[in-house]
Amino acid sequence: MRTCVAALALLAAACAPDQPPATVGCDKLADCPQEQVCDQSISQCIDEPANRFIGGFQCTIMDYASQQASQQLEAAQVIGRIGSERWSLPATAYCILDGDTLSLGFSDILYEQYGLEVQLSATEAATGLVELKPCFGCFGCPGQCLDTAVMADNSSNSALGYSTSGSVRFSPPPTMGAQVTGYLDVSMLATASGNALYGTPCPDGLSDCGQQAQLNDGGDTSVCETVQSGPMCTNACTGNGDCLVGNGTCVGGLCTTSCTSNADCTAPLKCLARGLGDAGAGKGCF
Amino acid sequence: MSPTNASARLGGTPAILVVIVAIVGLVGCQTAPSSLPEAAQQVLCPELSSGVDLLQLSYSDDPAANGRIRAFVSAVRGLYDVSIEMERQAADACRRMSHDLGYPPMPADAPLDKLCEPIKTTVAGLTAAGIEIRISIAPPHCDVDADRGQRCGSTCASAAGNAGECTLLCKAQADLYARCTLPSVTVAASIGGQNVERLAHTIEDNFPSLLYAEIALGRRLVDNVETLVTTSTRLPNDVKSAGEHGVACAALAAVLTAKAAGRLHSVLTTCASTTATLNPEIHASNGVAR
Amino acid sequence: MTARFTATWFRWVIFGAAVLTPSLGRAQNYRELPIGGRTATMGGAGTAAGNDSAMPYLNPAGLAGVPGDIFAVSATAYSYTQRSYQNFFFPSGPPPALGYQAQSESFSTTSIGETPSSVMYFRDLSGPKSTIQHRVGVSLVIPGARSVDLVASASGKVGNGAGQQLETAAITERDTVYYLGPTYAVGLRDWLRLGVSLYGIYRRQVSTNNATLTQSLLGVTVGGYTGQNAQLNESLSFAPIVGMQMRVAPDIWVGLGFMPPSIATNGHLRASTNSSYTTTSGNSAQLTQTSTITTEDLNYSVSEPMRLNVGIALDHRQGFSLALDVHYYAAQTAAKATGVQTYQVQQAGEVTRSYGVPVSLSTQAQDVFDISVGAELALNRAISLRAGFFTDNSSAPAIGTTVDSLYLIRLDRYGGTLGLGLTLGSFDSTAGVVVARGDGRFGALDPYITKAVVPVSTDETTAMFVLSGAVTIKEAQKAIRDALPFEVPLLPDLGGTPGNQAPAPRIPSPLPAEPKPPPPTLGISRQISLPSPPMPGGPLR
Repeated sequence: MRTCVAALALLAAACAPDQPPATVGCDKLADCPQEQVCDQSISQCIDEPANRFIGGFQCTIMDYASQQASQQLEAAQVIGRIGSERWSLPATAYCILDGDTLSLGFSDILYEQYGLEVQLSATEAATGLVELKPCFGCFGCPGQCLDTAVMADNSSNSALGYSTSGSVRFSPPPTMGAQVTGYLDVSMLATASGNALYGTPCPDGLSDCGQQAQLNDGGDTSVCETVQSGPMCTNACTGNGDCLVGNGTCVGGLCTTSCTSNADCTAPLKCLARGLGDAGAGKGCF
Repeated sequence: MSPTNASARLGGTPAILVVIVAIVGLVGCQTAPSSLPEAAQQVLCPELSSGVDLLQLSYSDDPAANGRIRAFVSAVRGLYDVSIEMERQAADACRRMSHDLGYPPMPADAPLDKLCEPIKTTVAGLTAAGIEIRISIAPPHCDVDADRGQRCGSTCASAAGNAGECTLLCKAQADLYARCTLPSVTVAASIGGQNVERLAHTIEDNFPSLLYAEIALGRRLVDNVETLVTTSTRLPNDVKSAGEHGVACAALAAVLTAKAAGRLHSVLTTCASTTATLNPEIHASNGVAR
Repeated sequence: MTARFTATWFRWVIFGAAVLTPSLGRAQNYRELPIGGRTATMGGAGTAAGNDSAMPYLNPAGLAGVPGDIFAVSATAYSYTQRSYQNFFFPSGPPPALGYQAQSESFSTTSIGETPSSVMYFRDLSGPKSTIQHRVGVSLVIPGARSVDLVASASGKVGNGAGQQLETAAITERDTVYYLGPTYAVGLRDWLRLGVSLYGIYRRQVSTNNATLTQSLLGVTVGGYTGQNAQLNESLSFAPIVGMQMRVAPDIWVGLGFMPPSIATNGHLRASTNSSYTTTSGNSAQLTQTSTITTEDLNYSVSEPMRLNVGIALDHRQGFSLALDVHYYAAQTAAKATGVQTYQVQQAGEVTRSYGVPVSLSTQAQDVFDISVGAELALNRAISLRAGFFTDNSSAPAIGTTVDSLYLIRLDRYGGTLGLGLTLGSFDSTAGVVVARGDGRFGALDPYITKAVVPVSTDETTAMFVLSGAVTIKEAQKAIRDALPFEVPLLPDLGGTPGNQAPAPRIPSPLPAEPKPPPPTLGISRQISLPSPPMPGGPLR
């Protein structure tokens, strides 16, 4: 049954607008009507764009221990869509500076199950502007997939999409303890359906490797790395049991798809052997 | 014929007119002397043209003179108002009858005899054509304003030595402010027809107002007019010691008496001549025609 | 079980919420309130020979025809109105998908009004005997006063009996236009009258709307809406009205009244709306509530249309009178509003939105032709019977299916009048009734099936009771002096009573007439008595 509501403004005489309402100028999301966001690059309200997260935020740069101690939420005005899903992320959960990694987290308030995480190179962030790109490697692994973002469903520990391009601006440039105002505009690619698609090419980054649903806490189920022929979804393994989540085979210490010939592999991957002792033998798509 | 026994039949009107003419002539020859012209008197005695009840005001510090002046000026004001009302009633009646008979409207300042000319002309025309047209009249009945008379009597009680004058002036006031019924009229004509019926209907509708002016406001008050005219010749001289205000009010009242009496005479003349054309028959309240 | 809330419905909710404001509240019918006393009970026909308190507005020349000893004339209308709207809650019927089964519906649309429709105070600057009569006065005329009171509710089962839906609506609206200003009239002899009024025109609309809708399924609330709106429109404009009455033949008068389009000077439209709706969010089965507050403070102007009324009358006040008026109102841009409409939108889990949208709105009025026909029969010098017929057509454009027509009413009215005139002194008082019927269309919102505007039938029936009277100068002066807490110095032209002294006695008016005497005796034996009332005719020859 379709849920419907009706506005019952009765006997309020109608009127003919002389011209359509002008596009609303804006500085921030609050200046825009519902179903619109503020594109600060043009200071205009635009319809919520598909497969994109956009909005401003405020946060205080902390280290991990301080953030754990304070647990405070700060304001954000991030709205995002991936596919047919839409999220409003009005809270900055954390801005953690740890070594050369600046991690930003944005979440909703009501459900606290969804979150957008952005990992940035602190060196680049110090310039005030970071260009974002796809994640090739391991998201969350130290030093890997910096300048990328992931939208995650924390209740299922699954990734719903990864960044493809975009930017994050800071004012002032983030330093430890500083209160900064930022603006995020990142295009996202929905993760492929399926989980830990070992042996699948990932030319667009970790999104091609599926939803990364965890069987147990901690650790991604797959990474997107170039092993031989091109970037592919894989993970370190000691045996086939480590590759079960993606119905993969452990070949030469890496999860992949077993094969007998190149025809069994999705280009540009080729059916190759990796003899690395006890970590699996035989051929796999690499 | 004594003025106090004027004939009930309106055919005796000329006698009344003789009396009034004599009174007016008397006044005209013996206007109360005053060293001030009328305009100055109006300035010194503005009360006479105001809307105040003159019976309540004071005109002199001398109680006796004050009482006499008070009774006189309040009666004169009443006579003046009666004469205005009399003229208005008669003029309205004649104007309406003229309109009903199809005559063009006359200017607002037309004299009364001109206003009543059409009705007289119409009746004369019918009579000349051999048509008899007559009216019978139920005359008005009047109740004097006894309260006014008593209030007047109590205010001029201080006019010791002139009790008779006070009584007459207060009687005049009671008569001037009497409430009278409207006469009614029935018309009879020797033939019918559209013209005669129209004349008859307008007479029955409008002639009562003219008769009211003539009888209730005119003839009934002749005695009182004589009283006021007589007093006006004497009183201003008698109250010379009443002070400038009192003397001015007495003198101005005397002038107004002459004007009112003159207007009353003129209206009564016109009304009587108009009524006479209809050869009226009076029906007293006991039903006997006279 | 609960469907996803789609963007389409979301847009319609916003659309609906947005049109809660603003209402430009322009007048659609120009002759809703009967004005004057004699004029009102003669179908509103008074242009040619009227002389009551409607004249400063209808034809200022008529003021020269009011008796000179009158100080004030007023008229008041007491009204009762019943309205109906077809398919108010479901203009196209309930959608099949809703599985709606009506259980009960109640509707109350009666309105009561009491409005002084016209009051004027004036002085005669010339004497009664003067051939040129001058009158100057000031008047307040209220030619339009509309009140709407509506309370409605409907409940039914939805989802083929699994759920329940309840809708309620309550509207209160008052829309009044006031004309206030001086009038000067001159009467030349007794056949030509000219007059001019200069009016400040204040138009005011106050309205409040409340609406709710709730839906539940198996006892669980799945959606709903509440909205409240309050609005005040005020505008000020100015216009002159000129008029002429001329007697072209015995008892035949023609008249003309003209008012150019009024010049709007300033005005405000202030409104606020508070609405909230509850629905399921797209990401979970949770109910989400969205609240919207809008406010407007717009520059607002209303222009009264050009009006031309012409009339002809047979005016025989002691007999039979007849009057016919034709009224024309020109098409125009009736109302304009410009400014910014501010929104504040709150939704759980969303950043509160606060923004302004520039608005520029206008309404159009069409040409209108109306007629008034009235008759009066004087039973005697004191009592007259009056009757009339009138039309009051709408200036609103035809109701369509676009947003232009949303909540628009187009109602053409017509009616009859009946009254009694009582001449007391020099002016007549009036008591009468006016009954009017209006039929037309209303642009209803159908968010279920067509998702557009649907014209539905609407009608109204109004009964009004009209009272008018006059006060003479002397009565007014006495009343004013009695009411003042201090003594009033005697002014020569007032001729009044100073302080607390008694006024001079008046020569009493005649008491009722003596019984009619029997006819006199004629000299000729045959006597003819008179059978019938007089007939009109020319001079005797």
